[in-house]
Amino acid sequence: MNNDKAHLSIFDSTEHRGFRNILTRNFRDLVTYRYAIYNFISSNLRARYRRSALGFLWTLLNPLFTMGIMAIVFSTIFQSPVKNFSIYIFSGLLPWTLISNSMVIGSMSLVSGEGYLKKVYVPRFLFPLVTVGVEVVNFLLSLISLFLVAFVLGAKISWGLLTLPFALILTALFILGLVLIASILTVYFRDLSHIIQISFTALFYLTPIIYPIEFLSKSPLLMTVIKWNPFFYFVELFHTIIYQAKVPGASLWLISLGLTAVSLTLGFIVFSSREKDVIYRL
Amino acid sequence: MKTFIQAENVSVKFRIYHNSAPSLKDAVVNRLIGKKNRDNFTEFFAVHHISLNINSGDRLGIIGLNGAGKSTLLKTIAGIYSPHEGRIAVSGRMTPLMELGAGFDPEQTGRENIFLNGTLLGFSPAEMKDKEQAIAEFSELGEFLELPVKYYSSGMYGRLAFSIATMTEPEILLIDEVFATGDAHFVEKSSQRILQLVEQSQIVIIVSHSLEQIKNLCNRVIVMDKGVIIKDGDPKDMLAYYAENITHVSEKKK
Repeated sequence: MNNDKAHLSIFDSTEHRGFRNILTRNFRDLVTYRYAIYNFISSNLRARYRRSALGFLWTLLNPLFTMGIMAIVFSTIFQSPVKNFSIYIFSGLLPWTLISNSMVIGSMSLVSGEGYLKKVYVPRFLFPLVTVGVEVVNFLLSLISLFLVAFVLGAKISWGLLTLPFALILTALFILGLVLIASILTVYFRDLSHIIQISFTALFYLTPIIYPIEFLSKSPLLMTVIKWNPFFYFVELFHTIIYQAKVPGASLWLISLGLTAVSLTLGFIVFSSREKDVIYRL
Repeated sequence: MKTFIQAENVSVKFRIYHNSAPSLKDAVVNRLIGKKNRDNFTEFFAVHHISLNINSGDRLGIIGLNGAGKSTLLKTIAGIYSPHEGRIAVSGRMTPLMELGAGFDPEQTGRENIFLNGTLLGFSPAEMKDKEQAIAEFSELGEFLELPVKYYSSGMYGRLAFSIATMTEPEILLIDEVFATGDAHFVEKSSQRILQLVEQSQIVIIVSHSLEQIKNLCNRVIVMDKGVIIKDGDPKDMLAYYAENITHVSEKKK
């Protein structure tokens, strides 16, 4: 904000009747508070590794070790070929971590932002947005270790990798829409954060991440469940790009795009219709 | 652009829940058995149909008993509470001196918090870089600035918060019971700083129980009671009215 710029703030109880007003206000807030968003994300990341001797190196080491453990477990217990399988697991685990962490932490984001919301004016969307932002950065850092392993194991590299940024953007926006809804609902029903946590533990097993989808091909019921699991399609994008080293097909892109559009629209509607009431319920 | 605050017919209502906040279970069960959830809370207007025009040059004091709605009105102007009815337009950069240190992250150092707090006020890191030196000097925290603020004493915390909040050039200054923190020396210094800010600002709104402070700083005073402005005018008249009709009556009731 520069001093020569005019500051005009309008707090209008009838604002929700004008869709465009809400959009303009949100956009203006996004520009004004861009540094605050950046600052929140970076301080959040720094807080995770504060005072640990290895610091940021943990963002690389943690996924490497997880990947190692998974590879050993699955190759000895399930006797699956290590090389392919660890890349398969990891290419699904990364987007899954982004999705489930964002949901679990994001659903509490407005509630945990109470200290700020009650004392200063901050755009309310800042809190869900920061949660997703932090998880996206974590995703990118883990991706580095995934590539390291893939390189060592001699995995294929394809043009499909060029579509990875689009897959990430779609997934992040899809999850942002859901987090916007969940963060509002949790203010009214605090139990929801526990429900979300448990649901995502269940969904983890209902999404082909630690097993290939062929495992379920004998059970039509489970296949149907998976088809109705929206997270499956986003994980599948990453499976195709990283593990199969292919460009995902048009239908997969279209389904993901559709889901993202629905989730973002719903998220925006729910959030902007309730966000002003939140302060009275914290 | 002109600096002004325009409130039209603004109301803010609060709910007091008689039992705890409704749980998901309650909501679902009540919906199923068709019971209305309405009896569990009472609503009251903390600010009721307030219209107010504040123009450049106004130093407005708000007085009233506890619970009259003074702080709620101030927080509504600052954008923390959204009005349930009516509309407020504020033109000018607001500097709230209300809950000092509100945007602090206890895990970060004092210096990092200068930037965090600044960006929450809408400044860019570059703008904060320019102010950093002045803030550090005014707070007199020295090398403590490199320490996470969770290790600060409450005096140090207050000093840093005050230094950041007052290092901006406000057009509109919102003051809610500014308590001076720290030792006698810092109290003196911060009172000076507030006086200086009041002079620089186009519009100042002060909520205070110290009638002495209101008399010294304001050129216009409103008296609030039960969420309504009952009188608006010259400080001398208002303070006299307040002493006679409000303080006096409430003491009689006791």
